[in-house]
Amino acid sequence: MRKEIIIQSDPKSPISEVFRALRTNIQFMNKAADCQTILITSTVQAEGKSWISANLATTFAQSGSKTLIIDADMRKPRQHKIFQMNNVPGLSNFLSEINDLGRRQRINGMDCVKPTEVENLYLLPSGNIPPNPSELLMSDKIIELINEVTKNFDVVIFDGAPCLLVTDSTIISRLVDSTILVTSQKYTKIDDLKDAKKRIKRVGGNIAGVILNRVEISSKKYEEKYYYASTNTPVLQTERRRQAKRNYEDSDFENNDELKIKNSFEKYNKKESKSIKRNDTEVDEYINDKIKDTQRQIQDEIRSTKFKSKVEVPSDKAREILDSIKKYKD
Amino acid sequence: MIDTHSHILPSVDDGAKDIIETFKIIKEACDAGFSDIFATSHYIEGEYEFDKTDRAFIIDAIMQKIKEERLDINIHIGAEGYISNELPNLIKEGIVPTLGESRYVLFELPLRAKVMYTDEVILKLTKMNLIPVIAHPERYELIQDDPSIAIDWIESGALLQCNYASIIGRYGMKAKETLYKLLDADAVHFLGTDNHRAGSIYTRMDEIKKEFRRRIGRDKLYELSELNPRCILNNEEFDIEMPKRIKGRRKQIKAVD
Repeated sequence: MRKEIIIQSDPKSPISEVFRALRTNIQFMNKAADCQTILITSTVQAEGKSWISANLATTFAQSGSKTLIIDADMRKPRQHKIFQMNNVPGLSNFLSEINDLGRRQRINGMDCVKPTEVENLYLLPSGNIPPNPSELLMSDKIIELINEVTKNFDVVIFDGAPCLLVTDSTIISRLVDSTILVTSQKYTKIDDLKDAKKRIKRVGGNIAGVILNRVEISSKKYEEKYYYASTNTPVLQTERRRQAKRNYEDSDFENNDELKIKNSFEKYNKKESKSIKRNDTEVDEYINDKIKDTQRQIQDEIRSTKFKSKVEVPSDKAREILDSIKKYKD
Repeated sequence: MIDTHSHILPSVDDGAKDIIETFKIIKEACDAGFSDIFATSHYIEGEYEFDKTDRAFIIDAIMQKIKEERLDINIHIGAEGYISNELPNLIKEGIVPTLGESRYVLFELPLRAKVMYTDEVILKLTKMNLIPVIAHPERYELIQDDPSIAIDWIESGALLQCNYASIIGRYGMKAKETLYKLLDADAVHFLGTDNHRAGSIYTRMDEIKKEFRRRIGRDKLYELSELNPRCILNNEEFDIEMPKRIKGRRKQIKAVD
């Protein structure tokens, strides 16, 4: 899973706190108006819909509700990237009844739902990118899906497409219990927001509220950590580095013990500050050595297992080329 | 300098026709100052299907000849895969070699058609603990229309290899402009020649290097042509900079109603 799920990667950051507050607000609304299905949309693209819906869904899942997140943005799907899962089969396959190999097949909606790495959180990805997402959403099958899904899940979050550019989200907004609009500071235009509200009201959708995203926060006011907790970290944390880290964590249990020892040293240091400081660095060095060792082991493993070819004989074509090379003289 | 992309193996693909041309190219590469070359001949299912063992035998034979001729250059195994859902399996089964048997995998996309499943292939490869390297993104029509797709690839975990000759306009003005955009956005990680013929790119390296120096400076050129490819040779990872978002009009989805 990517670092974008701040609730999971950094549960103590102020941003996670804000998401938890948002969840409580929605839960209170839940009792009053029974809103089980929530659509998250915005005026134009790149305002933070997918990020907010992923994090909001994670907070719901952590609170114990069985949560489903549906990637309803069939034009530019992103949820499968955030949770690092396959995009097919998904919503578009269910709606169009065409499977990922291009054949006609009735697909059960619940078959497309996959569990994510977060406990209690499930994802219905968007599926293959269809040429006509709006038409697909107009069909009765979407109502069938919502009925089926609401039986099985406590909370269902739709990650929609921007509602000023395409009609997809407007269509969904009349089917769900409530709609949340995402805006971002110094980016969303007020007229656009008014227009979006008008469109949703016109088809009979309920707007629960507006989330203001990407608010600039002065570093004096909060800890510096807040600033770096956003997804725009200066150095890109790519999958391979995470993978290496994961391998390291999985492979070495001894090291975890070492970390515990290190933590205990830290605690001890706080009590008697200067006396044991040298030991701490020693432990650090030891851990660094261990990390290097395991990385080397992983690389050796890859070399020995993955890249072993079966038969060591050149094919006929290759033999011709080999002969020509042997004959070659300058 | 290390060349991460070349088609020098004789009659394996549409590159060098015979061993005579191969050695012409190798001598040109020596003169141009290359110390290592990855022989990344095409692997396209149904078209060019030389597997890893064949390539290893051919490269061994060529290396022997190079030692006899006392040339100071090394040829390493590699392949330019062609994107398909089968590609991760082919690599797993050891049919398509990775770059120098490291964790880096070079593959290309069709130049004109738009492929929808690039992200899935990248995801599959990264889950296999490999590092996907996408060949010459500046030549794809998809990227020329919207360079920010290349940034999306990097965010999914891929690295980009651009062609030296794009900067002198060998693949057209659009490719040249796209390369400029990618370079400005810190989105290029390796440079390769993609050399198919004798007397083509290796003979023009002075001119090309001058252009690159003018555009990105000496240090950055050294990084792209020597330091980063060296990491492939040593099978190491390196930290990349977060690419900048590319400005300019992005194709917007048209409103339907």
